[in-house]
Amino acid sequence: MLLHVPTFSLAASAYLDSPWHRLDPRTRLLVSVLLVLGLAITPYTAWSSWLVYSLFLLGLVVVSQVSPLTMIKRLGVELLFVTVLLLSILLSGQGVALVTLGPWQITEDSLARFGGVLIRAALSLVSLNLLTLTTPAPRILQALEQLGFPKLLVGVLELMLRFVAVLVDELGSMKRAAQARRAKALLGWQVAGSILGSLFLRTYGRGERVHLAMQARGFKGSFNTGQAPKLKLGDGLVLILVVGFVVGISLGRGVLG
Amino acid sequence: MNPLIVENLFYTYPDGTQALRGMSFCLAPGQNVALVGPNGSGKSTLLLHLNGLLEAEKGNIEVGGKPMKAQNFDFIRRYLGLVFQNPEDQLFMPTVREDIAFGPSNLGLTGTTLSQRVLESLEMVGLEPVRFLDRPCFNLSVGEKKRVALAGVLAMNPEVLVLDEPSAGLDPRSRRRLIGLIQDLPQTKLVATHDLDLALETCSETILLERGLVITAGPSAQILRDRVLLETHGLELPLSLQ
Repeated sequence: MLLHVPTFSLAASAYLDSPWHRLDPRTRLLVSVLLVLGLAITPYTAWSSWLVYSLFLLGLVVVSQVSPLTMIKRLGVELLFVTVLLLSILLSGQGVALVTLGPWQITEDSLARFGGVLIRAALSLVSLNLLTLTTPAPRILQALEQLGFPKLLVGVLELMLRFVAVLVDELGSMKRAAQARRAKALLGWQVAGSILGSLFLRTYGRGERVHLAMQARGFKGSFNTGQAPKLKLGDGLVLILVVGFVVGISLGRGVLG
Repeated sequence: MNPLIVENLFYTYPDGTQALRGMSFCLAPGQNVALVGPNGSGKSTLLLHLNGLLEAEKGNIEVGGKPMKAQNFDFIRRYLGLVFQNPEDQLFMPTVREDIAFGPSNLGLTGTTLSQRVLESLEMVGLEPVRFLDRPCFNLSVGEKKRVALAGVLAMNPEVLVLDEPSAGLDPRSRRRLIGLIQDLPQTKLVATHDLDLALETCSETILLERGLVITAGPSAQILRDRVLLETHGLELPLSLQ
């Protein structure tokens, strides 16, 4: 989430009307998690399975009407981090070297592993981005709670989310104030240090005031989400379809490759 | 029974600033009282005490006949609704609907009772539910945010309404609407403000504070017309009387 701080709009496509949006948030959450699980148990050399998963996810993105540009922008930032983490796989190969870069070498096996793991990460991110772009974060947390996730943990996540927003708000107003006084794009260490220091203090103060306002309205440490509505028939069918899809791919992997 | 009694209240901030130095007053049922005073006179500090958000060093507070004790906080926070000065501090749920529902859901309301309460509160502050219920809170104007914050407190059905600087940052039209709203709401009200015209129009009684002490209390028509008194304590005559 913090990766998107400069353009902090978590659920940018939450208010579209599509068959995907009409699903209960719990169903959307389960579908995304099931797909990530399916991807996680797929061996990195199962290229045909990757192709089937890619087509399925592409179909979901089209159905959800999420702008491909928004999805690509998010993936771009996320994959940058993932790729840096995966470099160790790429450079740790043994066997016949394809390329040698000083002490490191890229082998056929390491390249295939790197490619497979990168595809797995990218497809998992598409699935999770689809969820976070179309479902406001509080809805995801509510869904987690309704699915039996520990209440305390959900409460901690909810507050964390709220305070990330406070942090971003404060940072935004300090940035504007600095720009209004013609601050340069690159700040000196001393100025950057002062900004970080006062950002902490201001956010802390603001957080305190938000907490007081919550207490004044009877907040006692846990959010009351009420009773969860029953899942509709359509939600059940979609879940069965996705479970069938993931199991089908795993079982049919021998045939597919 | 007086809905709010404050007796000999003392509070010092951790940095040593004495914010309240033996403050006493009480509200009668149905009364609208203005709390006026210059910056640093202890208005906001006092308001935080009324809801149990700050603990007094010394002195007593009784809300709805119950003393300010942790075991009475549930009752006190339902009975006395506090609307904060800055609505940004108060509105923290993603949509207007959820923010207004936050208080009543903490009181245990659910389902259609909760939805009905949300609708009624939004209508009370003059915002059409069709237009506002599902709007994101951060996207509203300051005047709308103030009204949603007020609706969030009204949804808890309080007997006493405490407003901290309700007209701060409002344009003339929004301020005028707010004055009408304060006049129409049936609750007992305590309004902390620098806006003496608002105090004069909405409150029959005024309490003048300075440096944590009640300087004087009495009918607004008398206190807010006393130029010497007001100027001695860092205030001015209301514009409408100048």
